[in-house]
Amino acid sequence: MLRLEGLRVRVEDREILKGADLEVQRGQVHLIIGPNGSGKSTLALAVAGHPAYEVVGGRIFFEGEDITSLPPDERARRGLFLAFQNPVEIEGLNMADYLAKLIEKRTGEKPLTPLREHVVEFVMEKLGPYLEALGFNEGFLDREINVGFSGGEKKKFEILQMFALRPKLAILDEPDSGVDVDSLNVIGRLLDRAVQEGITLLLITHTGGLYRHLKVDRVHVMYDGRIVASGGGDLFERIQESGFEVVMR
Amino acid sequence: MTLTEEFLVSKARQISRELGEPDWLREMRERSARLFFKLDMPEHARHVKVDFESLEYFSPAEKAEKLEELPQEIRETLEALGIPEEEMEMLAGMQVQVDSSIVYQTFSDQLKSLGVIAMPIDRAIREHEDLVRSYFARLAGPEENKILALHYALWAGGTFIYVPEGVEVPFPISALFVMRSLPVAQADHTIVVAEEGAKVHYIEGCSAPSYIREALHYGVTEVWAYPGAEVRITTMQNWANHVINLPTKRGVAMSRAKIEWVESLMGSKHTAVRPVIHLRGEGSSARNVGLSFVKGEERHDAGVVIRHLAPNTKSQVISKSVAKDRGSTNFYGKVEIVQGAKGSSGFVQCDSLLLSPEASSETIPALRSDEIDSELGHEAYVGKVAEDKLFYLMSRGLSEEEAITMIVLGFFEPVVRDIPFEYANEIKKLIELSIKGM
Ligand SMILES: Nc1ncnc2c1ncn2[C@@H]1O[C@H](COP(=O)(O)OP(=O)(O)OP(=O)(O)O)[C@@H](O)[C@H]1O
Ligand SMILES: [Mg+2]
Repeated sequence: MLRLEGLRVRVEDREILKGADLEVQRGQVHLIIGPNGSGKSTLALAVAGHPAYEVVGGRIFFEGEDITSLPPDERARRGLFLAFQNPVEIEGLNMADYLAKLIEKRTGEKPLTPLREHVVEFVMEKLGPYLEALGFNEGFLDREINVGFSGGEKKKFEILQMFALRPKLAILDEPDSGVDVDSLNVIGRLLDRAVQEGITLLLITHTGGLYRHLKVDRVHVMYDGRIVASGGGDLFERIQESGFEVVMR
Repeated sequence: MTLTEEFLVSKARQISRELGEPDWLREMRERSARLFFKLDMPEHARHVKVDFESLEYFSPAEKAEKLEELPQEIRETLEALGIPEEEMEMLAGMQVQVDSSIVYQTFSDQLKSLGVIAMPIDRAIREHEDLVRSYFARLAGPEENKILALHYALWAGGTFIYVPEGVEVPFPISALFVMRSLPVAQADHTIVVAEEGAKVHYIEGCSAPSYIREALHYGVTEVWAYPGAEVRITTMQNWANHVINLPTKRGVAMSRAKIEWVESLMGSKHTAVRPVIHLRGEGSSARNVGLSFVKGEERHDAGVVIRHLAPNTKSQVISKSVAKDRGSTNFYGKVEIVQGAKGSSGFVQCDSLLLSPEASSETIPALRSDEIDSELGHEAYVGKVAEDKLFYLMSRGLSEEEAITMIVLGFFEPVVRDIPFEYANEIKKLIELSIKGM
């Protein structure tokens, strides 16, 4: 589904990814772990096509096709999704309008009219259960994208967008950090359901919070811009216990 | 062609003759034509390069009785203002000016029965000469600078609106200005007078199709708000990137009068504009809202000058600008409170958004108060780069155009929210169209 071959990425004149190799198979759940600053988010942003993250070497394949030089919207249209570690605020952009637009992108369906009540109705019809599960009441739909959201709300909103778009592959960059325990369980259950519905997951995390909810197929360790080790779920448990030392030897 | 004094004076005479103007106007035109050669560019437009020699200064257009009779290209240009034809018909009291002539007008009977005068200014001069004369060139004169001198030598078209005491015009009066021939110079002259307690909303839309090579727009707007009057002016401009836009805007508010100026300015090669509002009467107020969007190599040097000349006057200036590519948008906000204007307050807020690292934006506040019992405030958030916002939306599958539209509309939203729904919608459409034209 996703294959990185010797990916080298430069940000602001500094090479951050120094030849990362990775392969994620369809329908699986993969984890990326690694120390702060090792390049996990850089990898995620480069795969999603952020223009400031310049690919200076290697290639990115998605469903067998080279997407290295495609613009981000085209990658998304092919079924790639990134839940950001730090989602940005977009002032003045209404949640309901935005979510309706995402749903329209995927399904071609639109609200009856652009009137607020119709847009809200449409979004509730399509995403109601997810909104509820994630603790967003209807009032949230009147707010501006991420503006004034708490850290946890931002993370949950990223998950909500994943369900609005239903991608083939979702890269989730620390969806568990800053999230309370109840919300963590909700996110865990939702992600598990996503996997059952056929969404492939590449999860970047520092904690075992979501690990418990998911059947993890493979764990990759990132260190200084490279994937230095890969293994099964036991690798994650070993590292959680004894630190990154285990793979550094 | 070289632009000689003889040429300009004879051109001024010719226009005056064709329009059948009274002597005082012809004389003002001739005098202004001569002044053109002696005066400098306005201070805020010193750096604007205008090729005066290559412009066509008076180009009459065919008149039409019905909107459908207007040439296709003109109708398309009107649509570029975001106004669908069905809606145009409904906009009451509409007139359309192409280049130098009013080609279409329909001022509703309702206006007439209220005693409101709203008509092309050349017709107003024929029908209400003394009235027009008492307001014409009173707030901006030909001796001020080169552009105004040229304007008063060659102006053609524009609107005259007079609202009698106590009359509230129940719907906005609108006018549309279109440039068509190339290269052209359009100099419309608009006067809005609201007598005591009168209320009026005037909407003007200006546009030029993109195939125009080089064009100059140098209209003048003069606004009079008598005691307790409320004048609201909404200007929607969508200029092609070959238009140089150097309008002059002046307003004066008497006691308790309100002037509100909302201007959405999209495009143009270079715009330099510095509206001046004088709060002359006690308790008068002004609100000036500017939305601007530049792309490519476009440049806006916008601004406003507000002078508080009486006690308890209030002013609010809001500027929101977006720059894309190598566009540059600058705002100069000057608010002055003179000694004796006790209890007055002025507030300037500037906010800009940069859609690319090469775009630029600058805000220059110039606040000055000579009165201790007064308040001045300034807030600026300049140069927020939107690259991450753009990526966020594009990573969700929205095209660049959709993403920019959402970000820009969101950015303008706090201002657009205050505008009546249907006009806010027009402004939104205008922004969308302008982004589409990238
Ligand atoms: N836009 C940027 N500008 C400058 N430096 C950057 C940028 N993005 C990443 N970096 C740098 O690249 C390195 C890797 O950052 P990255 O965010 O990929 O780390 P990470 O593995 O996700 O860390 P964490 O676990 O803390 O989230 C860091 O040194 C970071 O400062
Ligand atoms: Mg990170």
